[in-house]
Amino acid sequence: MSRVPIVLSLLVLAGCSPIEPMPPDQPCREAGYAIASRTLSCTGDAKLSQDRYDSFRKDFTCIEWETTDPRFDVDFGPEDLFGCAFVLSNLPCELVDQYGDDLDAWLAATDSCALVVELEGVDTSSLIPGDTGDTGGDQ
Amino acid sequence: MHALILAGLVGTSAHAQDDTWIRPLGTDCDENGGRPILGSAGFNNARDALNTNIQTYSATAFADRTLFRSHRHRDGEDGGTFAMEQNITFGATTVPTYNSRAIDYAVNNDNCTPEYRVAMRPIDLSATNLGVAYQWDKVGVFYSASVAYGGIAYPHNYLRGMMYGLALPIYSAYALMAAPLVRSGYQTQTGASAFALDWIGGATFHNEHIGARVGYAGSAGLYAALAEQNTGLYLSSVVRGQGSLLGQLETGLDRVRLVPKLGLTSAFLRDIPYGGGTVSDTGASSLLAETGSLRTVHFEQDNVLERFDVHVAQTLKPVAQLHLAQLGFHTPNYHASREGRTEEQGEFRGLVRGGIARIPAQAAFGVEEGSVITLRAEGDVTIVGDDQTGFHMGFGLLFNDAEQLAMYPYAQNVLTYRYQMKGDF
Repeated sequence: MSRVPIVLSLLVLAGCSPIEPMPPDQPCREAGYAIASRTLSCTGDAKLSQDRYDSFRKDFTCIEWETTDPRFDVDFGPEDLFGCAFVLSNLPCELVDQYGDDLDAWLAATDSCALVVELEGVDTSSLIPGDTGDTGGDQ
Repeated sequence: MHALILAGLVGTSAHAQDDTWIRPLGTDCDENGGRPILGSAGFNNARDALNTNIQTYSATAFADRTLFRSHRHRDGEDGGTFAMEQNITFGATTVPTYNSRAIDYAVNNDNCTPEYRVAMRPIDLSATNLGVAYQWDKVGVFYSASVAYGGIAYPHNYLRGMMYGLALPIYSAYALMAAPLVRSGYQTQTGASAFALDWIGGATFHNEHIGARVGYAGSAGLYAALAEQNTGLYLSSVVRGQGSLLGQLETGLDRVRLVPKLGLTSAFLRDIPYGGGTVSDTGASSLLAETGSLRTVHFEQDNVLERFDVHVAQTLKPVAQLHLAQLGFHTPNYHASREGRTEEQGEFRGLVRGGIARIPAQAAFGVEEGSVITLRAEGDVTIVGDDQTGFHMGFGLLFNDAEQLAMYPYAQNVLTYRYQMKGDF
């Protein structure tokens, strides 16, 4: 009896890795998920939530980042790319109502969104230490 | 015992000698979990999964599901039921995590390469339950305890296996024994990990028409359940104080014989608190605050022609979606009726149930549209059994099963194994 959990644990876990590098577009998709999540929380409308995410994926181009990007250092890393999702996932419902379907307004809530989504007119040089002013990461 | 020693030796050797087949190069990243990235869908899902695990396998839910549903009422005779169960779930959801040891790679030559500085890591969950009920004629008493734990998985599978196969059952046994001493139960959470210890005790009454139970749960809640014995109608609920993780409502029909050839019909609706709340509402280290409810409806037709099951489950809230339809095949009359069943020593009962679940796009949970294969295999052996007493050992393996998808709607490839010991005396 006591062996069963051990044997089962080892067998069923043999084929899948419990740690995988972050997919390059994960921070961008998280921004879209945050829009959908806040929409659902504030409106209770699951369809509207999904529609806004679909519009986000259709109308905006994701900036992809490899975790080995040479611009990452001790002070700036892939973890900082989730700042956009963090801000959007904590937007007050008043702002969610105000922004509505205007996804440009959502993404303008914080400059950090320009690190993961192609946005015109946002200077991200201050967000990336040592950056010369070019916007975004690897395409 | 030999398996324990072997597992220990393999694990220890692998960790000490850098065996890359079991410990891939560069993956010794924050072995106690790393830091979940706030604001990600995975983080919110993880907090919800931890909450759901605690809810589903709470002392109250265990007593409802396992202790009372199998308790044989023998009018005019004294008797009892005891049960112990452990559920281990691997990969309820996936969380982006920040692994600080990747930064030390160049300086300290740590075996955690920069590509894992942010990595996707699964959430593993466990729950251990213990319960006993005894009745004298029409009145009785019951007691049940639970310990639930969950967190970000270890970066190596052998560590996951040793933790959930060896260490955790031992820790849980100690915790369960201590449960009655923790008068108000105990719950704690930080980041994407949580621990909860709870107990419930109370009294039962039944006659030929009704069954009633009242109790008090350590986590400051009153529990009440009422069932109509002939039709199988029932309602159970836990009323808890504000801020508690635990609470539930379930109502429906329990194993009714509408058409004898079609076996047992169950239909029920379950409602439990849902959602991890936003970080700004609760703080990253505070207890989860539910933001809504997870409402599921289930229809189950068991023992059709004695050998088949048909199950359908659907989530109504927060997102309406058809989860799946499953067909099962099992040994004759696998499912016991409300009156119980006669057991024979050495009897084996087994079930295999499979199907395909359609997962709709749920961007709010970070889930893209797709389909997954579902599988459920269960076995139960009667070690000792006659008309009055019985002792069973049961095992189950669930992969994307309806039960799991209803609990973790964001799961993609979730695996649960459970084992149970149960006896009537």
